[in-house]
This record gives sequence, C-alpha cells and structure tokens, in this order.
Amino acid sequence: LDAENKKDLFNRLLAEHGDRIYAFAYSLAGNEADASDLVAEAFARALQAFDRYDETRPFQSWVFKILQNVFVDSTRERGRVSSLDVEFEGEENQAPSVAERLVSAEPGPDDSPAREETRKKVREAMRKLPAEFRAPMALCDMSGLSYEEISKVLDVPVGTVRSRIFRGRKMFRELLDSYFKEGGSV
Amino acid sequence: MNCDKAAELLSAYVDGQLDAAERGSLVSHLEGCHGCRREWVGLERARTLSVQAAHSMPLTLRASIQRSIDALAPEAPAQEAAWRGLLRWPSMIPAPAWAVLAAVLTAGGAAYVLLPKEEPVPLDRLLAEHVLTDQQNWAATRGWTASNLDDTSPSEEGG
Repeated sequence: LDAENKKDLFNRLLAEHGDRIYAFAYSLAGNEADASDLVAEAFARALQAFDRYDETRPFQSWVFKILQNVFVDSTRERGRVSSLDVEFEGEENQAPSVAERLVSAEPGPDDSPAREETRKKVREAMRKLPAEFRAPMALCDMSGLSYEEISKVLDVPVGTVRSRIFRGRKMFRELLDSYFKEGGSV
Repeated sequence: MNCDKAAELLSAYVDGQLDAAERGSLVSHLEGCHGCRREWVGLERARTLSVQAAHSMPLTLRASIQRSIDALAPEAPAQEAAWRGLLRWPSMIPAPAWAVLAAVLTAGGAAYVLLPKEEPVPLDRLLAEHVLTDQQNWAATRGWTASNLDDTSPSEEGG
C-alpha cells in the first residue's frame, strides 16, 4: 500500500472506529487521561509499524491488538502485577489538567438529563466489574468485535472470551437490577 | 437442553455468536421456558446499557491523531511523458510556440485555396483511354504467351 492508501486507511479508521478504540482504551485505563495516552500511543505505533500489518486481517483488529500491547507495556512500566488489574477512577476525580486539555463533544439531542443519568449509573456498574470481564465486554459491546477477534486481541481462547462475557454480563445485570427496580429509563 | 446449559449460551446468543446447532437448541428451549426467556430479556437489556456506557473519543485527541495522519508524507507522483503533460496543461506551452503553430496552419490553408488545381478530365476521354489500355493489355498478354510458346524447344515439346 502506498502513502495515499495508508492515509486513507488511517483516516477511515479514525472516522469509523475512533470512538470504539477509545471506548476500549477507557475500559482498560479507567480514566480519560490514561485512555487518551493509550490511544495516542497506539495510533503512533500503528503509523510507525504499518509495514508489518497483515492485510488479510481486519485493520481495526490490528490496531486494537496494538492498543492492548501498549496497555500491557504501560502497566509493566508502572509495576502492576496484572495487565488488567486496574482501579477505575470516578469521573469526578479526574485531574483538572485533564479536563482542561480534553474537550468533550457537544451534547446531542439524545443527551437528555434522564438518559445522561442512566449512562452515569451504567458506567458506575461497569467500573465495578472485575477487569478480566470488563475488557472482553467492552470489546464486544462497545467496540463491536466478534468473540474470535476478541480472543486474538486478548490472547485467550474463544471459549474463555465467551465465558468471561457471560459472567461479566450477569454480574453487570445484577449491579443494575436495583436501578431498574427504581424505575430508571433505558 | 436444561436451564443451566441455556443460561451459558444466552449471553453468546445475545451477541449473535452461537453456531447454528447451538442456536437451534437454545431457541427450542426458550420457546418452552418462561424463566430462561426472562433471563434472555434481562441480558439483552444489559447489553444495550453496556453499549450506552461507551465513552466517545475527546475532540482534542481526535484532532491530534488527525494531524499525525495528515503529516504522512505523500508519495512522489510518477514521471509522466512530456507530451502527456502538454496535453494536460496546454497553458504551459509558451506563447511564441502557439504563434508559430498558428502561422504554419494559416499558410497551409491559404496555399490550399490559392494554388491552381488540375482541370477535371471529361468522361468520354476517360472511357476512351480505358478501352485503349484494355486492348494493349490483352495484346501484351497474348504476346507474352506466344513468345513463351515460341521459346519452347522441340526436344522438350516432343519429350
């Protein structure tokens, strides 16, 4: 692929999968600042290592894999025991510098207060999930990857992906049950 | 299929990740099991909510990545033939060259109009010449044949 095709590929990746990549990064990192660093580093590595991209594989899956590797590397540097053992920060605890640096999208017509409240509760429930369930769930629900693609990104068998998503979703549902009983809107 | 097995498959069913055989068995079970159907609806709702929990990429991050992509060096265009370039960019031909070309075309046109041309040949003259040529050709052919016969030696003729 020449430079123009490479550019097109990355432009499409950013336009069509940018949010999905970021959502996965957030599920790994647990906060906006680290998620942004992960995504920026993953794109930088992908741009640099493009010659090694195997064209028979979906491009976005390759970038998800790089993102996962970036995360593993960053956790090693920080001396964490498990690559997925990350404590999530509450959104309200984010550093002011991050809030200044990153500007969120303008609220759209779907961002009614009730919907925003639901989203907040759901994110709280997601944060409470063990990291080993959170990552495959994020890749499945938020990033839209198949179980097979998830198994390649996380380096675990497909059966493990299925089992982790099943258990994670069950736990997630139990966490949300009280909210449903209180009459929260979906 | 019992309810424990159905529960294991439900999550993958919600994700559309079951093979045809598993899906068929599960659907058969769901048709007759109210409890598993309720579980299924709950998992569908959980999945929908999980999708809603996704964070969007911050605009500043997106812009920063976009700049990195835009900075990719474009490949140098392939050298094209000079004549192709001239066809594509006629304005690149210098004005004096256009003037010379116009002068040549004008002179050629004037010469065509002004120079004397041959008078047309009358039809009866053409026919007469044609008939004469035909007769000459006929005679020449016969003469050639006769001379060939005349050249043939008696021994060959007799042999």
